[in-house]
Amino acid sequence: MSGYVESYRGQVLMRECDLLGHMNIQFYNARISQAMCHMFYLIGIDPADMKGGRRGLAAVHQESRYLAELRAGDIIHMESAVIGHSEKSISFDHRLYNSETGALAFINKMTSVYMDLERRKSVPLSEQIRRKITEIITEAEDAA
Amino acid sequence: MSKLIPCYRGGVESWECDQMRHMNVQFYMSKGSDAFAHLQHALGLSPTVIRSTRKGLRFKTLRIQYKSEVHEGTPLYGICGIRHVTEEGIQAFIHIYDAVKDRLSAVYEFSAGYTDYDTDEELPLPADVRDAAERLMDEHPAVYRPAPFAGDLMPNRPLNHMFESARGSVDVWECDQFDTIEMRHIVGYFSDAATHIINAVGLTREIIRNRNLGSAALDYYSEFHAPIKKSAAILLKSGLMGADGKIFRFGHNLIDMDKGTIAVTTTVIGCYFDMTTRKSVPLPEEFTSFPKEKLLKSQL
Repeated sequence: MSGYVESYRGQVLMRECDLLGHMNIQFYNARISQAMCHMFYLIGIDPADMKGGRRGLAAVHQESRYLAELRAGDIIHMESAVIGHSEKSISFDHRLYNSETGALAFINKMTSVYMDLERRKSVPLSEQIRRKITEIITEAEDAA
Repeated sequence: MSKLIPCYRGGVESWECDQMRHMNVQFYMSKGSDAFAHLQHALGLSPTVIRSTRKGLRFKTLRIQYKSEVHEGTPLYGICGIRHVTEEGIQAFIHIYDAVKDRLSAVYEFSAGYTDYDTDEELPLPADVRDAAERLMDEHPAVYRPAPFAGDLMPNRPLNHMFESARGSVDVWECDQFDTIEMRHIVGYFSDAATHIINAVGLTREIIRNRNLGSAALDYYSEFHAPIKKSAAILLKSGLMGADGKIFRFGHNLIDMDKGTIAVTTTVIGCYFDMTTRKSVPLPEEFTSFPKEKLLKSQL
């Protein structure tokens, strides 16, 4: 899909599966965490900046839809896009696929605020990040 | 057309970093295992096929060369490829890159055999898997390939002056769906052994910290003799093979106590580095003054 980039690729581990025999919901978010490493970088937030305690993105809202179960040993990948922004926040769309079947297993729309990691307060997006977002943003209607 | 296969993408989580402030070796292995699953899929060994046949590839030998450290938050990606195909299996590689610097972080060169996961019997590659592997086979001359692992290798037998460096049992949550320990946890034993190794040469973590030193693995070579199953009692015995200049070499025998056999034999090459400059430094004198007669290399 246009505007989407591969943000995660891995597999489902046995220990991530619950008594229902499929991956427990907490591990879907673990994949988003992995994907966000790439999305941070894509929008110009360097890991060194975050580590230095200057700026980062913190999730404030998520909406998830679980579309197909994933089982131990399944290979999976995630595609993500920037779908919106405000003065202080960025919205992402994450889509997790079963890599074997191509089936869409999980959709998550997430809004994160740009945060001063010393003051622990949200702050306006930097001009550099705004420029980057303008380059890569995908219209919400395309994001489905 | 490139025969390289995209096989991994993710990042370094804070809880994957150790006291050296870089990603611990066991998490390199977990990312390598993710990549290995995608490699199997490229050969027709999809999760569905593996689940139904209860057969698939398993590592026979594995070399991991750690090329550059990565830190929390670093995005990573991986590619893999097939170098050779034989009746028994494949020789292949996985490369994990630091996506920020587009720099190679770890290289996995390995052989893997087709195995019945219930009986642990090694089988010839199925014809369709072999065909797929041959179609993907390439020398990949443009892709980095490490020089052969140099120097002594740890033998698959006990040696004098080896000491207990880790002990445990295999928990259910450390296993895959076939009740076999995940590769990450095997490497985890070697990681746990690091502090005991430091103690064995007469150092403590406090001394290391006061000298502003860290230690890092540079190169692993492992031979897998038998799978380790759920609930097995595990004992790791280790010994210093050699220490010279900036490089130490350790040998590990991971023993399945239930069977009384060595399941994994590993040789580790490593170094010490300055925690501030992140550059290698000469080995602490405790290593270089370690009694020569106790070095395992004297028995090889």
